[in-house]
Amino acid sequence: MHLSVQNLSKTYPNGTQALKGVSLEIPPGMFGLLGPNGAGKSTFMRILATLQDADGGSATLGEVDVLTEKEKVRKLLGYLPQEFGVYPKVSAVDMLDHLAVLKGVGDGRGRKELVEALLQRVNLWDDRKKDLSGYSGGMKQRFGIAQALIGDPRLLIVDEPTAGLDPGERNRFYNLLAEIGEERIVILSTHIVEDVRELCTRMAIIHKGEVRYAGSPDDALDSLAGQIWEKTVSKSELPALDAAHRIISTKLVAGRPVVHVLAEQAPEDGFAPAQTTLEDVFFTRISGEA
Amino acid sequence: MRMFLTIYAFEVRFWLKQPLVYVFLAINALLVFGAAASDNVTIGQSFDNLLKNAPFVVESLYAYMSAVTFLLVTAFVQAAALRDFNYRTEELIFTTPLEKNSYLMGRFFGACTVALVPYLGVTLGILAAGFAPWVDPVRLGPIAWSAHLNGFVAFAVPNTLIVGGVVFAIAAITRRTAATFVGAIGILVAYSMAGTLLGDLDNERIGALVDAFGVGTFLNMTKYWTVADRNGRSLPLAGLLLANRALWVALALAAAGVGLRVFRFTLEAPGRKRAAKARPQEPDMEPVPHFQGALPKARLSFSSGTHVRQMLSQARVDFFGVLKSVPFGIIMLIGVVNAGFALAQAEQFYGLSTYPVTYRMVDLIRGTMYLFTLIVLVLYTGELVWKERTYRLDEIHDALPHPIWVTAVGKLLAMLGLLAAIQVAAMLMGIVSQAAHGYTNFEVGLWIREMLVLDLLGLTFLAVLSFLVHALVNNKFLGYFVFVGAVIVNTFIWIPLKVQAVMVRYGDSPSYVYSDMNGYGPYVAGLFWFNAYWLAFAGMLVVATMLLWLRGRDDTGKARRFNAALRFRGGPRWAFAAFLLAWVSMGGWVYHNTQRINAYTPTRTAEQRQVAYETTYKATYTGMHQPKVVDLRYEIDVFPRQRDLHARGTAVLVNKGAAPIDTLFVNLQDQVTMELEIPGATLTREDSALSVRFYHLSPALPPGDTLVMRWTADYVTRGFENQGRVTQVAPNGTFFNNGFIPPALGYQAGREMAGRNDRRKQGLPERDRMPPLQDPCTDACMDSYISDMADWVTMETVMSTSEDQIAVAPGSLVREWSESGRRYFHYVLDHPSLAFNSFISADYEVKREKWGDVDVEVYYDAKHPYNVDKMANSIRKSLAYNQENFGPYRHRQARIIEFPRYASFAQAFPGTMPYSESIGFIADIQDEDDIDMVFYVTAHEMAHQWWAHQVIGAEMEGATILSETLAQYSAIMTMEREYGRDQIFKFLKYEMDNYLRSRGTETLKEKPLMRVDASQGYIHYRKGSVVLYYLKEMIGEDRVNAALRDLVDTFAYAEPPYPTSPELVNRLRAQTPDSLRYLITDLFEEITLFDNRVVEEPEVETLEDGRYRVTFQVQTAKLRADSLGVEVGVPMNDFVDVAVLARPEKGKDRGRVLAQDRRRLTEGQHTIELVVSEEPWQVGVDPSFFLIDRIPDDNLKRVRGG
Repeated sequence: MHLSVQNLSKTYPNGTQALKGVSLEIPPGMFGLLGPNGAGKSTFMRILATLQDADGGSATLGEVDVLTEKEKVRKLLGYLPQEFGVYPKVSAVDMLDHLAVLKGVGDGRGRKELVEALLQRVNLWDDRKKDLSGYSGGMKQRFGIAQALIGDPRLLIVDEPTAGLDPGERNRFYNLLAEIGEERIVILSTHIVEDVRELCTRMAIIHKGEVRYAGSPDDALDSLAGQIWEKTVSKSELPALDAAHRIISTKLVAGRPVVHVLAEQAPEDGFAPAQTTLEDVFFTRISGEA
Repeated sequence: MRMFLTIYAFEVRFWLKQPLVYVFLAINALLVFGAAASDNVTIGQSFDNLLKNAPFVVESLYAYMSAVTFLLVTAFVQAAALRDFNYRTEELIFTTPLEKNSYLMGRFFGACTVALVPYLGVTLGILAAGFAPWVDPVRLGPIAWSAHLNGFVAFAVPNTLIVGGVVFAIAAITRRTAATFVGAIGILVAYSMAGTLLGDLDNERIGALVDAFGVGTFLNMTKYWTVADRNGRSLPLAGLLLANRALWVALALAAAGVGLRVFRFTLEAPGRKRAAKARPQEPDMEPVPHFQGALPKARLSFSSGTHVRQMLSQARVDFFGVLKSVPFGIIMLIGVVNAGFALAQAEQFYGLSTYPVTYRMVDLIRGTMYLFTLIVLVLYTGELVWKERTYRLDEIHDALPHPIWVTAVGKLLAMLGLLAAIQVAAMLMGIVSQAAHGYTNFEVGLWIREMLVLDLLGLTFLAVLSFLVHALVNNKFLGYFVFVGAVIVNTFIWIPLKVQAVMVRYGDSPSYVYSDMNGYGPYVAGLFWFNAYWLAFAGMLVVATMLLWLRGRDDTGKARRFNAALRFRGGPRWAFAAFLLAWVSMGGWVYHNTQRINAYTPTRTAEQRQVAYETTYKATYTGMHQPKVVDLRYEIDVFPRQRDLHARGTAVLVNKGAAPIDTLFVNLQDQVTMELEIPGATLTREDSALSVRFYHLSPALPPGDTLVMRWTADYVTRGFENQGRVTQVAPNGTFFNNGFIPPALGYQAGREMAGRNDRRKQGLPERDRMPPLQDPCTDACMDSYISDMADWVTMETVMSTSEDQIAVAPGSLVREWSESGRRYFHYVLDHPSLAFNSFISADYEVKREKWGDVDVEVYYDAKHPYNVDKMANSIRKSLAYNQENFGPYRHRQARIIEFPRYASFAQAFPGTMPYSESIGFIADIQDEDDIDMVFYVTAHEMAHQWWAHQVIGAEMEGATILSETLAQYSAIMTMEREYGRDQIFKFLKYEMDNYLRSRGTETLKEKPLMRVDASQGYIHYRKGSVVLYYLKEMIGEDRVNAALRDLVDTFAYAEPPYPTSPELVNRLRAQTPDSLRYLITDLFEEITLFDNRVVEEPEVETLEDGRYRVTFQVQTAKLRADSLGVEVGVPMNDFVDVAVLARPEKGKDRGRVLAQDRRRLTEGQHTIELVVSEEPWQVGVDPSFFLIDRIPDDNLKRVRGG
């Protein structure tokens, strides 16, 4: 199955153009959607998750028209929104069972087995009878993953899944995603560049509602190979540097600014070649020119 | 202080920017304007008889509007107290150097101050009503600024502080919005309980203090105010009102103080455990092996079976979600307490209770529990629609592959399940309470039909509408507002608009009355079809709800239209079509039944007919001489099951006048189909619109000559009606009188429009209710006030009914037989009587006794045997007293016959007293101290066999003194003989209270007893009781009875002219010694009141012989009132009792009389000295309340330390 998005656009009533003709081809496997806050990632994903309607364009999942055949999409979908809550005074197992019913897992015994397996899978087994509203952020996120996995979805959309997770939990979550991402489409949105590098075979960078890059992370790195240079400077030098070079990023390392610049040739005044990272790609793509 | 002022000012400015304040201001202004400028809108009570802007009205409106502004105060104060929590700014605020008390008090008083703004709506509304062009200037007085001030000071300010204080305390302690609203509801309950307490006379003072809003206090303090008082002054903040206000404001501020102390600038609410403790422990950071391995394959299914399961799962989750929520629990708890309180205290009438029959318990639950059920409905339909969004589960939920109807219908089911659960709980409560009262006739089927079918259907229609509104409006608070608004409009708009068709009022069905005798009787078909019709309509609304339900995040109109169109395919489309088809076809059926075959007269048309009848015929035909009926024969066939009636009648008419009669003016009855035949008369004119016919007699009927009139009247039930009108013919309990079938002769003033304001609107002149008193009187006294068609008639009836029923008509049963499966009864009247007859048929048990040669019979329903013996006893005792004193009883039977509670009265017909099932038959008289209401009512009706059925007044002012007042007197004397004097004092206290209260609500003018109008029950019954008993006290029973006996001897069954009130008053005067003759004037000819009281505390001196000398000051005054209640003092030199009373025995209200003296007192202050041999407890002036006293309570005063 293959997800094909053509010219998708969306404008909010307040005039914000969230998507401006986004086209993407998404094959099975892990697909990373990278973009700064407000880039339109969530809008894009909600449209694919049938929660919002596009103003124009098309999206097809295999044979299914995502924009009008919402029921069919939902049968194939697993969705973990960026932010979610749960009913008060309901235990994890009851909530998951209810969601499984809504997902279409009709058979009672099969559902029970599935729910239990999922809870073990995300390591919530011991707390399954506890009130969900008392869960910590990480536990809740794991519950979210569990519910998204109900019914073996062909299309899994996870929106900023690692926000609020500690590093250990993040690792575990990625292991899980990597495992299931082999034979289905997994769309993962994040603004953390490393996540994509670690997980995804393909990626897209979205900024201001436009696709700035689509391809594999390796290709993305290759496209900038040998063009990134870095230098540790003092704060007072920054304005001058900015005028002279195309600065991609400025980071602090041990309290001193380290600038990355993009240049075909090595700039003078002490720039050293830098290992190209996906972050460089990201900043390059979102800084003005596509 | 400066910080307080800063915060206070900030708070006021903040609120003044909130549109809510002005919305409420506008709502209040509109409501009050409506109430003040129109007679169709009522707030609290109707003020028809007062000036539109009378000071009393103004102050009342401030008081009543406290209930309306109540929610606003709650909203303001809780928002002010909890704003930082709700906006999550608490961490910012609590870390600033703000001082806690200034911060909180500033907010509290700021919010309270602004909460007063909507009260200005009351002011504006009333002032604006003065400019409404349609308001009759006659009904406007000067602007009553002092009443506005009193209303503001006595109600607006204290009530705001009271509600605000309590709400603030709850908010400070719980830090939860929901909890504060629940607390607010708690105040409302306390309020309604105070109302219940106030109902019982002895508790009035307590009730007045308990009433948190002071409304009851206000009403209590003004209850005896006359029309003149109400138009002329308002109640200042003083006395009991001040005490109440001070008490509650102090309590509320104390509560707020507690809240202030408890409130901490911390993130945790006081007393609430740290939430984190309850959290599950974080698992260790170890690598997790569980992430490995394949998940079991679950088969997904999207069959309709799955969808049903999904819907049920949704319903279950939502049902238990609400059930577990704290506000729901608290609302229900309050509702249950409120209903339980009412169920425990059965209805009061003369301070006594009735058996808890099921329909009464259902009514009590409706009156107390339903408010809370509705609150749950309103609140939780909104909660359920918004639940996923509130808890941010919406994105997950909405992306799951269930069809949208699963959510919409699942939530509706959850709501209906909750409502059903509440109904079941209320039902169980009712049944338990029946058992607790010792009543064991558990009609579970009836409980289920009332609470789980009819009421649940009504609630279902509301819930469906509420879901639709929330789905449509898509804004939670606006949704609440729109839904409540829609319900209010649907409830109240139709009557002012004069829309009678029930089928256009959403969810409505014909109003019905359940009767133990007759079940749902005539209403069954209508209830069934109307509910089916609305169910189909509700089905369409559910489909619409589903189409509009927001799924996902796009809430633009475009997106919602797009999604609705996507959804309106397949199943939903078919469902909608099916509901539409069902609705249209049932609508057609309902229309056919209610608008075609049972077409009813629209209100407007009925009014126009009344006007036309009066304007066309009154001037020409009033007093036109017509022949009078002397003999009546009826043949009546009742078909109870079919609810059909076929009657044939023959009337023999005689020209009793001096001139020949050539024209007959005949009024046909509207509720039946009539045929009329008058041999020798020609129909000259038929006014079918007004059901009037004119016949010409040729030759004219000479004086003394006879004429026969034959008629048939048929009532045939077909289908069902818009509103069940004809309840006279019923499956079990057919009951009608001579107003239902026979035609009437001559101009019928009773068909004129009666309402004073209605008449004014129609441009009709004001009418005197009865012709003015003439004395002496001959020509104007030729008709009795009961009937202008006949004097004393003989009568014979053959009545048939179904085999299982007994038919009863006036007179002795001369023959009874069965024929072709029907029972026939032949009755003949033993003595000529008034042409005032009732006909009854039902399945009765009969109790038969003999008293002398009179058959004493009680016909009752098998379910109501309780008071049958009491009734029979009262009949015997009444026969004894009245025969002894007022001459023989003229019938051979005295019957009480139960009829269904479509009407709730007892009425005396010759020898027959139909008695509604809802009054005496289910009265529960267990306590010996209770007034035996059954005995009293029966005695009253029995007394009518003399007073009305032997001596009847002419159609003229004062007529009812001869029937009602004397019947009261006879009943009281019979009761006194049976139960003793203490019972009578208790009874008279209720009578006096009723009279004093009622005269303040007199809509036209109060008249002296001697000129009482037939509609002024509070005078001829209530004042009449007090007056005649007092006269009896003063001149003695023998003298009163001698006068009455003479009245009977002169007028019993006498041909006209009929007697007038002076015939009675003059006879009483003749029996009264000269020294007491002033009484006759005071009691009968004038409206006389006293203002007697004990002033200052009595002094008690112990004498050497161990006796006590009691000295006390009494203040006396005598007043005369005019028809509007304007009272002026008059000189006084009257006999008044003064007394010293002993300490009451346990369980009694008053003690023995230790010393009593009847003194002649002039107006002013007097020192009274009495010597008693026991320790005095109380002193009193007129301690037995014989005199009509403006404030009876202050006639007694306690001895200090006593």
